[in-house]
Amino acid sequence: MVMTLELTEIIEEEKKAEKALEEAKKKADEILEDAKRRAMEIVEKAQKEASFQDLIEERIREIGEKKRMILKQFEDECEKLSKKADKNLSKVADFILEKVLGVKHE
Amino acid sequence: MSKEELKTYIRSKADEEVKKIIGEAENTAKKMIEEAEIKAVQIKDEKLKKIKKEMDEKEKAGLSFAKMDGRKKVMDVKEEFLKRALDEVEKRLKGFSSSKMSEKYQEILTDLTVEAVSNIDSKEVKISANKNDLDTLRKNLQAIRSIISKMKNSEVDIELDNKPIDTIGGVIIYSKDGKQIYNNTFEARLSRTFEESKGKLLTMLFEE
Repeated sequence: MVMTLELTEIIEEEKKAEKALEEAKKKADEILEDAKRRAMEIVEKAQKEASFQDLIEERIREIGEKKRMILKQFEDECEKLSKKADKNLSKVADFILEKVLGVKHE
Repeated sequence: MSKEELKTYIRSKADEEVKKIIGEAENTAKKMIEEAEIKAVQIKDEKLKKIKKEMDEKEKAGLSFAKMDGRKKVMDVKEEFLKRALDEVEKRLKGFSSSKMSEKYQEILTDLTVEAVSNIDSKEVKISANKNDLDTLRKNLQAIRSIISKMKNSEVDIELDNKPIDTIGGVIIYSKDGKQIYNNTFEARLSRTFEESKGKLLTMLFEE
């Protein structure tokens, strides 16, 4: 009789141990599921946040500025050329005329 | 082993196993998060690299187009002034050829005719010119014949084409068989001068 009671207590202890293990496995699954969800969130967030819109806008502004500077340089060159050509136009016409007529035209 | 000792053993084994299961799960979870964080950094780095590359290409293309536009503007200015120079010459030529009877014009017309005939390898040539130049040439035809005959060391039969052509001035010479032609009108000479001297004209126009 005493032996039976002791055996029952030990079996109970075994059951408690099995239950604790089952709960532990369940908790482990939850930990892994939670980690998986958080990992996906981290990746999705990175994909969403990686638009670098500020950087793009800044670069577009810089490029626009560089283009304006280049065009300004050419416009300045055109202005200088026009001034020189205005001054030299008559001399060039004389030169062409001399060639066309074959004699110096007065 | 007593009953209590056995129960304690079972409990401690179970606790140990639970700790192991939870510990392994936590370690795996930690690795998953770490890997996700590394992947997130990689995603950002790759995107940043891609954007930088795209923007560099955009800049290169944009600046290249801007330079092309600028160069075109410079070319347009140069072409505009070349055209203005030619317009000016044409204007002066018209003024000059309207002073038909001036001695200088007659000299030039004779020179143009002699030069053109000397470039035709024929003993029979025909001269085309505008109405006023035909009149002038008609008056000086004998002198022109004489100059050319002396130059070529033989007689050349020169005939005027009485049908006037549309030109500012100068002549077109044809061999009578029509196989040779020399255009010595002002327009043709202007065009030749322009083609031959375009580089020099540009230099002269835009020098200090």
